Amino acid sequence: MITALAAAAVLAAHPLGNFSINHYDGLTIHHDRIEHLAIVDLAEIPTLQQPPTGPADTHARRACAELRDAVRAQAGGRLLTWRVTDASFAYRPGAAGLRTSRLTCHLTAPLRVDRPLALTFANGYRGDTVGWREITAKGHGVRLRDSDVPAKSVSGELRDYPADLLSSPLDVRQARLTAEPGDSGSGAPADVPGVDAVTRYAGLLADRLNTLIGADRLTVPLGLLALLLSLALGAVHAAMPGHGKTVMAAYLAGRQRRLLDAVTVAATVTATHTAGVLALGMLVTAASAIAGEVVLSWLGVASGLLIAVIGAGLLRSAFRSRTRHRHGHGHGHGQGHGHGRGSGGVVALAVAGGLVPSPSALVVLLGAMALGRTAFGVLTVVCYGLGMAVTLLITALALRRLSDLTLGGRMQRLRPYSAAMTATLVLLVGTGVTLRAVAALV
Amino acid sequence: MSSVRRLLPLLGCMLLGCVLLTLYAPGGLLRRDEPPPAPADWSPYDLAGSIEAAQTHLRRQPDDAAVWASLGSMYLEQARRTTDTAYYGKAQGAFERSLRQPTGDGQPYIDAVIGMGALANARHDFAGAVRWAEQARKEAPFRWALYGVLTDAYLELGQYEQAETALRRMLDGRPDLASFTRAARLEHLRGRPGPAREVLRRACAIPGDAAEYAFCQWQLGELSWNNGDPRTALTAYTQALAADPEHVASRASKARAEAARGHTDQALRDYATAVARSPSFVVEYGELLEHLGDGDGARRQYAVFTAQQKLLAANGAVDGLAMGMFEANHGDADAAVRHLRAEWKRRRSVEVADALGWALHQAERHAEAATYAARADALGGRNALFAYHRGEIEHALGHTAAARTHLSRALSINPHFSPAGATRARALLAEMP
Repeated sequence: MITALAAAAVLAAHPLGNFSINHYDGLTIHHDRIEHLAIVDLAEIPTLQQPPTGPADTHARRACAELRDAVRAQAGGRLLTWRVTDASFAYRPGAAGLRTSRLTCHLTAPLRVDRPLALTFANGYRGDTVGWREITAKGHGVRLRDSDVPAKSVSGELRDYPADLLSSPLDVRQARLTAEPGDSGSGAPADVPGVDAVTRYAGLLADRLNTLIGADRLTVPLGLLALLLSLALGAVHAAMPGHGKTVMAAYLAGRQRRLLDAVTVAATVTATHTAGVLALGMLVTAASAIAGEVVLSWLGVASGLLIAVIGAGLLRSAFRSRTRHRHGHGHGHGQGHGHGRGSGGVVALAVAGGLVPSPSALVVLLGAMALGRTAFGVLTVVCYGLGMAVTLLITALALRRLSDLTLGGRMQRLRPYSAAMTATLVLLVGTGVTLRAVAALV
Repeated sequence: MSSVRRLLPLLGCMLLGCVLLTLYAPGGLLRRDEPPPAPADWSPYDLAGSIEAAQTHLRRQPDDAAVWASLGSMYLEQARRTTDTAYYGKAQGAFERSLRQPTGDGQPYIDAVIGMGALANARHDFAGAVRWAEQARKEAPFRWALYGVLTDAYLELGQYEQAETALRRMLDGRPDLASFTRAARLEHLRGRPGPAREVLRRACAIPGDAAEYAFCQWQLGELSWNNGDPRTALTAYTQALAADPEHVASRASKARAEAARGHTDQALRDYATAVARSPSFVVEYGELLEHLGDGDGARRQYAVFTAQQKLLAANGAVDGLAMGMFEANHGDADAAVRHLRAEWKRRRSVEVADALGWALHQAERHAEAATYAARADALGGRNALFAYHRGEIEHALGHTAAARTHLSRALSINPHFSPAGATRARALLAEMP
């Protein structure tokens, strides 16, 4: 009875039966090299089929050299050249009085992670046999992004295979990921929802900011530098593509030809955005079950709808004023047609613009919170919003100056239609934002 | 009114803009869900993908007896395709989960019952398979898969009449790949290669996935091989491997046919590939190596076979037929007789009869051997190996005329039936007066 149980336990060790050859490749990416831990676990039959020739360490060295030649890895399109640093081979007791064997190879290849670096990895060593195949990748002093393999082995590096009824043996034969400078430190930033192109562009800046916030000792100059950086990040963020809505708000403000309006817009965007980031940050930390991605999408829908509604309203008022003009009531309507809804509409637009929190600000906030520097994190987010406001103000002022110049000339003739055109544009952008957000939801 | 007309182009532009944005914006409708490039030729059925879907479903709804049963069948299919017996345990677990879930009328879920039968067949528990299939038949006589289980079990038990009855039910209900390949096997057993080939041709014409096609082509190849046509067989195996390069049985059979055609290097390469994937062919490989004079290489393969049998025994499954045949040819003849007598008590198929006869002959009990050999040969259709064994036994008994008849019959059915056997048969014929 006891022997039967023991046999069953040993047999369960190999999920793919006792003629499987199981592979594990653990990659660790450092800023100057990549380390590869390759383990080959041979079940009873292959151990018997290919007995080592000569002493164990000679055999291990030869097998690891073979394995090295079968590894195909590229960094930034360049083939990596591997060196075996350590090799070992050992038997372990298997089922029915037979043995299994385990080959362990440590390989290393030089690498420089001074910019985002695309890595591909494949191990073709004895690729035609049945077996468990697992790859993991983690960074050490380097951040990994878009990795299609996990950081941790589910089989404990081929020591303890999951054997429940609802899991299939892993068959991962290649890995693809991007390594970039930065710290892998706390896992929180990596899980932040909605990390998209914006973060990618401003990635370097944000990395620097993150390292600053994560510094061991936060001195005053260091803190000031961090705040300055977040200001710059916010400014860049507001100018990013995909922020047509905020630019639209600025443009409207320019159309009103009042500096006060532009300031109102900027302040509103900053306030809304800061509040949004703080609220979402709190939501994500408080309840990890809430998928930030979905919240962001719904906020996108709301913001798009808001803009569309405002656009429709503007269009309606433009119609009204045009009709009145036709009937001879108008005199010099071109100047002040929008004033009826004026500030209210602009503020609403600004709210819509700031409603969707920017992922990079969220990253900064969560990073700071993870380090127990919440107040400082909040301060950075406020600075971030201020940065956005600055960009908006500059845009508004520039557009105002521009419209002064152009409208002075031949464009003057278009003035009667400009209200309708602006309104249509706002409506269009609103519809587009809504549709995109909805498309991302379904 | 006119103002509305004047605004019409504007509204038109707006509408167009909205449509374009919806379609082409990053994340818009057209950029999403582009279908993946179509697979080259075969039906898109993907076993691994289906297994994953079932697993995901069961994680959410762990009480779905139907999906547990189908997951079990898929594990069984996976075992068949990878020749990896570790999947049997998973299949059994899945079927048992399904059987434990109460259905509406308090009966066990029928596909799980049939699945347990198929699993019993795979584990060579043919009597158990019949019990499961009969239980299924009582409850759902129109579930055709059960007749497949029943046919296979009866064929292995040597109850050929019952096998034919079960197969007829299956063919009437569902003329598909599963029933056609079984029909071909029965025709072959009856010594009718023509109808067998016809049935297999029809089976191969049924569209299926790559693995099914490979299996079918492999069967066609086996039929040609058994009837002494290694060239046609080779073509079939090559086609099977082109459809599914992982089909190990075709790889090993191809190696065997290559060896018969004198392409020894290619044969050895193919055998090495096959045994690396599945140890089922190590004896065949070892016999070829031994025939080529590589005694050490052969012994290594035989050691793998012995280890595999040990592992099976530790797992509670003993393949008495394979074990006995191996012992008779390469080991201890008395042990072979012991194994095969035990197997003969369990089942009385022509293969067991032939193997027992051969083992008795090796143990110098020629008279008793002759009765089993005759029994196998009478029912076993056109089988070169059976005829050769019978010829050897008659020769040992001193019946020269009968020996000559059987030996030349063996060579006329398939002159390449075994590298060593065919050579020996020719030598015996030459030295007989």
